[in-house]
Amino acid sequence: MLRLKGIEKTYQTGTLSFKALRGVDLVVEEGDFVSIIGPSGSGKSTMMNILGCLDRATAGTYIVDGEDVAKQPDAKLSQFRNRKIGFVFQAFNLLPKLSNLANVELPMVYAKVDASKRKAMALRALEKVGLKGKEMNKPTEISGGQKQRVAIARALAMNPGIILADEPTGNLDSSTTMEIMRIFQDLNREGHTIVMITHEPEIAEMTNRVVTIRDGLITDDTRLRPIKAGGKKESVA
Amino acid sequence: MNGMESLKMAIYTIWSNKMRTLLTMLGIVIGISSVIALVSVGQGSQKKIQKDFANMGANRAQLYMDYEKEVDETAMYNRRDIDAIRRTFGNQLNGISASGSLSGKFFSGKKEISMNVNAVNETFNRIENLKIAKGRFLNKSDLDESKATIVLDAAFADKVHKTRDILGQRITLQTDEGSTSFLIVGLYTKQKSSFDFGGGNSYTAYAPISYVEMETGNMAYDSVTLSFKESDRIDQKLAAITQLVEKRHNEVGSGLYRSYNAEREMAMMNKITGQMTLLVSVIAGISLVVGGIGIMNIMLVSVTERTREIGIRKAIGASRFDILGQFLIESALVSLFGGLIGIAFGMGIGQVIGGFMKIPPAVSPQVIMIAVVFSSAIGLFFGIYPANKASNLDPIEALRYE
Repeated sequence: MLRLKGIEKTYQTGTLSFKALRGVDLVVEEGDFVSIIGPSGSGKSTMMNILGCLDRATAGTYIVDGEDVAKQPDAKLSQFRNRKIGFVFQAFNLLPKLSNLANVELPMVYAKVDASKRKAMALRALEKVGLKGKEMNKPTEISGGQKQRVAIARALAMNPGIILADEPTGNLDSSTTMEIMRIFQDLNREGHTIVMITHEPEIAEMTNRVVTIRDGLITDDTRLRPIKAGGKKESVA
Repeated sequence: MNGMESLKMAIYTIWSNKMRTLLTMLGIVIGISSVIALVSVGQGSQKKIQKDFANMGANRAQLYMDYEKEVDETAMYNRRDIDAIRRTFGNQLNGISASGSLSGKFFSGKKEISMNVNAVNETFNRIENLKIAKGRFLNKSDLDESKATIVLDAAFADKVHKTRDILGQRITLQTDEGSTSFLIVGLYTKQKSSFDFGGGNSYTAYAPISYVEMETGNMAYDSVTLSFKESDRIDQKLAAITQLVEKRHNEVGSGLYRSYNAEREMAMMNKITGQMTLLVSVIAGISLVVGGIGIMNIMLVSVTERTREIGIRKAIGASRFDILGQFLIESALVSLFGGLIGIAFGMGIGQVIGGFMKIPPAVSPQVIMIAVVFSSAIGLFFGIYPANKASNLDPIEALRYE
């Protein structure tokens, strides 16, 4: 599914250069639920950007679904983000002026899915995260937990191979955190591959595999549970 | 993202920023509306002038003399000149007539009505667009036999006699030569044009030039009116006629006899209106550029404000091209809406100005098309820079933007 080999990332500011990642090797198998944990400054956000095709590595190879990201033009990376990856952010990152439904539809708009099909798929995705009845509300009219559910529905909309979650519970209280984590666990049980960045060990413990990153290197990689299901993920479409 | 989706999204964004959009549009609205207003008045007056010329007789011309030169009677136009011109050029002409005038007064009880008697020949009704309402115009025998016949304005008959059944009656006019009695043979009506000034308590009548010459003893004229059958090469035809007159009066030098025709006058007027329109367009063009810069300015602000939105869109799969298109369509739409409002506004202003100037304003569809295309083109052009800036934003940076 995801294959990182010798990934390095160097940030250049003037004459100063900072190596955020110093040779990371990681393989994420289909159907796995992986958490990447590390203190701030460890390079996990850089890792997230590279995994999400928002950024390119300075060195090393990153292969998504058998395709080498480094060799792709920008337009192709947009397509990767659109079809292969579903993002869930700490700050939700929903468009406040659009309805929840329209937010979920947005990735499909860019994928040129036609309007009626798009709407049907978005409604299903919202129902799946338990937001039936909130379709026409705006993100500003619902709670933080509900916002994150909309974001998850949006990530699911294009039925991507991987869901990338960057501190998805960082802005939520503990009971809402549990709700969101249960949704992720359910999705994983259905066959979705999930990579989650977090700095909270208790969150990480709810995943199948904990990868610890420190100073730009993987220092620990522990499997807590086996990859479940094994079968193909259930399509929302 | 397809075009329809981008359009919907742009309309949505514009709608949710109504006030700002309105202010942004203002420059375009002012630019376009001033062009439309001025063009509508310009085209309206041009149309009216053309119509007036057509009423007056588009193929009409006049021979006159250089008024700055002292001329004696022998150099002036006379009936033999007219006859000579008719013999040579008659097949090209609808009519040609010298016109003398005799001012007379008509007394209706104690009321005095002034009557201007135009001394013309039988072709004159084909030169002027005179409509014979009753009876007939002067004919050849009136002229040949110098009969005291007269064709009156139907309006005069309506006012003084309260009836048009006055053919065969006689009318007595007081002139400088004394009192003259004319036989009424016809009534005419004339189409009003903007060249008719005054009017009021004065009427025009037509009597045979031969009779008036006999009465007044005046046989020389300083101008001759004529009308051509065909409107082509009028200048050349006039030159030939002038040459003939020069030859007949070979004792005076050339340059005395001049000619004038409506076509030439109209071309000049069109040129003046054209130049006015051009000048206005240049000024309006400047205001449109200023309006365009206003749009660019607001679009740049909008890009900065929406940095996070752009980041989100990019993260979930919007390409550079999608973002570019979104902002370009938005600025083109703002500008186009401005243009449409400007067109409506300008036509309104045109109506008001036209109302004051008594000119029906006219805007051709081409002008409206140009305004529509031009205003959206301005939006597109001035949207390129902000849209490009938006599309080049780094999604990571944009997502971090607060």
